[in-house]
Amino acid sequence: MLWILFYSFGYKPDLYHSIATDRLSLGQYKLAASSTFFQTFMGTLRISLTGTALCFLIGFPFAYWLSVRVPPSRRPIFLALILIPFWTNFLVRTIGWRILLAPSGIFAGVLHFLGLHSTALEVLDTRGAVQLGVVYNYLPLMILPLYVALDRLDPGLREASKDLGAGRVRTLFKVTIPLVSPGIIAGLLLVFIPLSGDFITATVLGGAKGNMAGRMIYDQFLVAQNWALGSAMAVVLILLIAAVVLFFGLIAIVGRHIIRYRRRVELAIAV
Amino acid sequence: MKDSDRAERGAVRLVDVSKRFDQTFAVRSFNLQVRPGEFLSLLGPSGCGKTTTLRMLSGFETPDTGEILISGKSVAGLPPYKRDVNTVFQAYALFPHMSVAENVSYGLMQKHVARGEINRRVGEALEMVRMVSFAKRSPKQLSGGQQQRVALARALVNQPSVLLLDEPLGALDRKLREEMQIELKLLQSQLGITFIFVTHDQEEALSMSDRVAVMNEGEIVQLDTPDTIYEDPNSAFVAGFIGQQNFFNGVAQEQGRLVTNELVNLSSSRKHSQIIANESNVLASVRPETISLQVADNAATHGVSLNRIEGELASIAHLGDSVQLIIRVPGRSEIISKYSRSDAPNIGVGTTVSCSWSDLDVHVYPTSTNER
Ligand SMILES: Nc1ncnc2c1ncn2[C@@H]1O[C@H](COP(=O)(O)OP(=O)(O)O)[C@@H](O)[C@H]1O
Ligand SMILES: [Mg+2]
Repeated sequence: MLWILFYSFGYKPDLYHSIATDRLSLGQYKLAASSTFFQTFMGTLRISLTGTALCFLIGFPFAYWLSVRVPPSRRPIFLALILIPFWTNFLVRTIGWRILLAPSGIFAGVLHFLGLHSTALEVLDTRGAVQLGVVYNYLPLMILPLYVALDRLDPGLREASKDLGAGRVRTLFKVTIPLVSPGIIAGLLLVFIPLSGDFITATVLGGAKGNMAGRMIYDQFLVAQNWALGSAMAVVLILLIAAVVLFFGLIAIVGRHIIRYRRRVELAIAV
Repeated sequence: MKDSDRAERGAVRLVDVSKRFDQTFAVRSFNLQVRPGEFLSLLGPSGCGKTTTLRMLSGFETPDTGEILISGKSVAGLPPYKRDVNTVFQAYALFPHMSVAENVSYGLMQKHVARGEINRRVGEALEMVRMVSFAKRSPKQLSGGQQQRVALARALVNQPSVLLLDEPLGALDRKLREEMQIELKLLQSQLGITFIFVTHDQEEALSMSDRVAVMNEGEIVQLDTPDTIYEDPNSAFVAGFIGQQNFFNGVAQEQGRLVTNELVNLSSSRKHSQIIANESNVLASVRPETISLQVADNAATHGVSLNRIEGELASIAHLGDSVQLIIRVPGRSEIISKYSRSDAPNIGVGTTVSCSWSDLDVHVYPTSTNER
């Protein structure tokens, strides 16, 4: 990490060397923040944020259903099903999606059969494909911490809430979600952080359009052999991730205080 | 009885309610009328369907058949959050992410009560259970008894027409439990709210309730005042479940006025709750506190005597306000006799004693198959 930080102030001396650090400058950062690369960073953030949000929107109801509705004896089956994709290599299962999504692949066949889509499927090498792959690859990382948190939640608390007059939705927002918030935070971070640096999913499914920062950094290091620029980009990416996490963290803290303030009780009686 | 027929706030009626899980009945043809403002206990061994009955009242279980009326109105199809009842859960179920005061305010918040009124009512409820000084604490920082009080305040602050309590004192130690029993009973009579109180502790049920419904295997076996339940149990099950008993197996003579076996004959002058056929197998019961002991004279009659049996005093146990004496009788299980502390006979362990009782204290029940 420190090397990367150090390298990022260096430069690429000539075609045959990857790095020189005799003159330190911020020049590489200017380059890394220039509009072409900047766009890639923003695209990466967009894919990561949407991917994280989608994982949560799919993962939470699933984890809730699994921990509340499915009898305990059948839960291991579902947990195993979620984990099966993890048994194969990340790259392999992503390539698997290429086959499924190919213009004349299985999905195209099914859609065609259903009459929903008649021409060749053009999902592959688009941002949509990347998004799909991202959700598929990272969903288990969201579901598992959520499931653990929900499973540990005493069902009696939800009943107490309903007993006191709160409907399902209120119970969800006032009791369930606050109490599983550590699991939610864990799931969000577990998906968002590795996803932001991921370059396999984007490369395999996105082609040129799915260029993500992870891929860009990889190119600078191993293709262009410009370690200084690569390092600068890596630092920018880490800072961006940190900024996003901090931003949402602050929102969460402020939100929490607002909720606390709104449900406060001030006894008229002197304590 | 006429009062409870009227549709009144706080009245509860269960009409022929049954509930099955898989193939077994948890609650079976359950009929019960609770009067407004009554303190009624559901008493029975673990697994007899008490919690299931309570959960059908609160709306967390749906009866398979039958009808439930609260304050005169059928609650069929009403979800828990629309019912005018509140529950004190066995494990308290306080919200760990809220303070004590916030916990208590939860129900009022759901009903959109004005903030000023919430503040006032929460204060009153906490005052009622003497927890005002803990208002800002987290439930995790409270002892079991204190959590219990908060759970009570959280339910009562909503002024429900019926309060359901599922073994609320089960997790407390004995001394605290006895204190809370008194507090609960006082609160209930002050507030006039109907309490339906579930317990497997017969002492608790008898000491607190206006009426007790003794349950076994999903059915009510006896519904009476605590006094009647204790004095006049209507079956061997109730007799055995409530307090201690000395049971004698035997064969009935004279429609149950006489019970004979190879060790002792018992005569009973009580009216039997069930018709007893001559020569049928029966169970006679005698309460320990009605058995008196004398030192047996040496010229003991070795035949079978009436309402009297001889044995050796095996142990003396001091239970605080009472003394329990165990007498070993050859050929049967021990006989227990109980005296109040001041009346206890001065007899040493190992002495041969004769135990006797009056025919007024002998209950006779037919031997049925579902007895414990
Ligand atoms: N959700 C359930 N699923 C299956 N069986 C249940 C369920 N709830 C209760 N039972 C069964 O119903 C019977 C009565 O249970 P319960 O009402 O909890 O008894 P109690 O509260 O008197 O101990 C028991 O045999 C129990 O195993
Ligand atoms: Mg129970």
